[in-house]
Amino acid sequence: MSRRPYVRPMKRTWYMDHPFYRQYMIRESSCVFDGLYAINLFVGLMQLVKGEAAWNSWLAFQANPLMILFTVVTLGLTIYHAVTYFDMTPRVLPQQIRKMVKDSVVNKLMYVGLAVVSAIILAAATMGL
Amino acid sequence: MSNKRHIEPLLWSLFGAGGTTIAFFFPAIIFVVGLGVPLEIIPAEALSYERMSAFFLESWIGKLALMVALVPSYWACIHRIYHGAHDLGFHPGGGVKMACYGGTLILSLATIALLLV
Amino acid sequence: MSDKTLTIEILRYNPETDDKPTFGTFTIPYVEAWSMLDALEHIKDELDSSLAYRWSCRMAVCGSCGMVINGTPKLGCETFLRDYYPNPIRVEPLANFPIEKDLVIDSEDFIKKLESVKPYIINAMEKPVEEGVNKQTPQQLGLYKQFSMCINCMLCYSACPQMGLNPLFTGPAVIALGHRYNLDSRDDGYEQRTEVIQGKNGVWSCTFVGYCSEVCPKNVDPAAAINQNKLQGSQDWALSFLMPRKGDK
Repeated sequence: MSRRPYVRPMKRTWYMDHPFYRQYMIRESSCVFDGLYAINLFVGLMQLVKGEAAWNSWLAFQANPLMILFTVVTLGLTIYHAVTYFDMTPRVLPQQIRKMVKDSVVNKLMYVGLAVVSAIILAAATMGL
Repeated sequence: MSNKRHIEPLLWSLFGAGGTTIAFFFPAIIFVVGLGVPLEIIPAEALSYERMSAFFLESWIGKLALMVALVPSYWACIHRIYHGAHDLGFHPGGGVKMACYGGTLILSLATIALLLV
Repeated sequence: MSDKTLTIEILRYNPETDDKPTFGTFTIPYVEAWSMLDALEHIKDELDSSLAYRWSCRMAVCGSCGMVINGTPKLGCETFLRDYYPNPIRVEPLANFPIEKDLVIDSEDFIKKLESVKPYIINAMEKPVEEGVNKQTPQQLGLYKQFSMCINCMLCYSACPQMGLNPLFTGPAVIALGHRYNLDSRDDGYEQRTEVIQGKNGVWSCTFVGYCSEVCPKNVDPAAAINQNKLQGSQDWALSFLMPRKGDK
C-alpha cells in the first residue's frame, strides 16, 4: 500500500462558494469604492487650492447623475465597512483589555463615536446657513 | 531579537488607522459632499468656495481634520486592494507592491503639501 | 428502524486506483438520533467496508472527525442527520489539506507547524522543586483559557481561504495556541515564538476573513488571537526603533 496524497487545487472563484466568503469579499470591495472616493476628495482639495472656478466645476461634477449613483453605492459600502469594522475591532484589542471591557461595550462605544463625528460634520456643514 | 524586520507591521498599522478614519469620517463626508448638496438637501452655501477655502486652507483645525480624514484612508484602501488581488488569484511581485504603496506615499505627501503650502 | 431513507454523497479517493476524487452516493436508513459519524459507521459496516474516515471519542473532544458537510467544516460527531433530513447531505474531507484516502486527510504539515510554535510552557517548568509550585490566580488563568480550549480538529484550517492561497501560512489554530502560551503567566517563551507568529507566513498572511472563529467547535476565536498578535507585532515593531536591540542573537 503506497501513499499518494491528492492535493485539490484552490478554485479561483472560491469566494463564490460560501455566503461567509461572499460577505467577506463585499467587505473588502468597499475599499475600491472608498479609495476612488478618497481620490475624488483629493481632486476636490486640488481644485480648492486652484481657485473658485475650479472648485465650482468640481462641485458640479459631484451632481453628475453617474457620480450620484457611484456615491450611493460608496455610501452603502462604507456603512457596511463601518459595521464590520466595529465588529472586528474589539477582538483585536489586547486580551488584558478585553477581560476588563466587554467586546459589546467597545462595539457600542464605536457607534457612539460614529454618531458624534457625523453630528459634528453635519453641524459644521450647515452651521449659520 | 531573531525576528527579521519586515514592513508588514507598519502597513497594517496604517491600514488599521485608515479603516478607522473611513468608518468614522467617510459616511458623513460622503453624505454632505456627494448627496446632501448635489440633491439640495443641504443649502449649496454649505460647500461654497468662501467657506471651504476659509476652513480647509486657512484654519489649522480644518487642515488637520482633512489630513487625518484623508491620509490614513488612502493606506487602508491600498492595503485591502493589494491583499484583495491575492484573494482573486493574482500574486503580484515586489514591483507591483512598491508601485501600490509608493503611489500611496506620493498621494499622501501631495495631500499634506497642498494643505501646508 | 423506520423505512425513511436519506442520501449521502461522499467524496471518495482511493490512492491505489483513482487519479482524482469522485463522489460516491449511498442511501441509508434515516434515524433521528444519528450523527454523521453514526451514518458513516453504518455505511462502513453495511454498505462499503472500504470507506476511510477518522473518529475516536464521539463527543467533540478528540478533534478527529473534522469533515466538510454541505460546504461547512464540522465535526461529524456533533452534526445530526435530523438537521438536514430529507435533503441529501454532501460530505467531503477537510479543505486545504491533501487527501490521503476518502475522508482522511494528511495532517503532517499541520503537526509540523504546531511543533514550530512550541505549544508548551517554556522555562518556568525548569524551576527547582525547592522554589515551590507555580502559582496562578483565576484572573491569570482567565486571560488565556479561551485559547487553551483548542482540540486541534483543524476545522479552522479548512475554513481559512488564506490557507488555500498560501499553504505556508502558519494558520489559525497554531497561532491561537502560541498566543495561549504567550499569555500564560508561567511561560517565558514569547521571544522563541516570535519568528513563527510574527513572520511573513505568520499573522501577516491573515486578512481577518473570520470564518475560522465561526466554525470553531470550542469557541477559541483564533481570528482574535491572530489579530491581537498583529497589534502586538506593530507595537514591538515601533518599539524596536525607539529602543536599542537587546542582545542581537
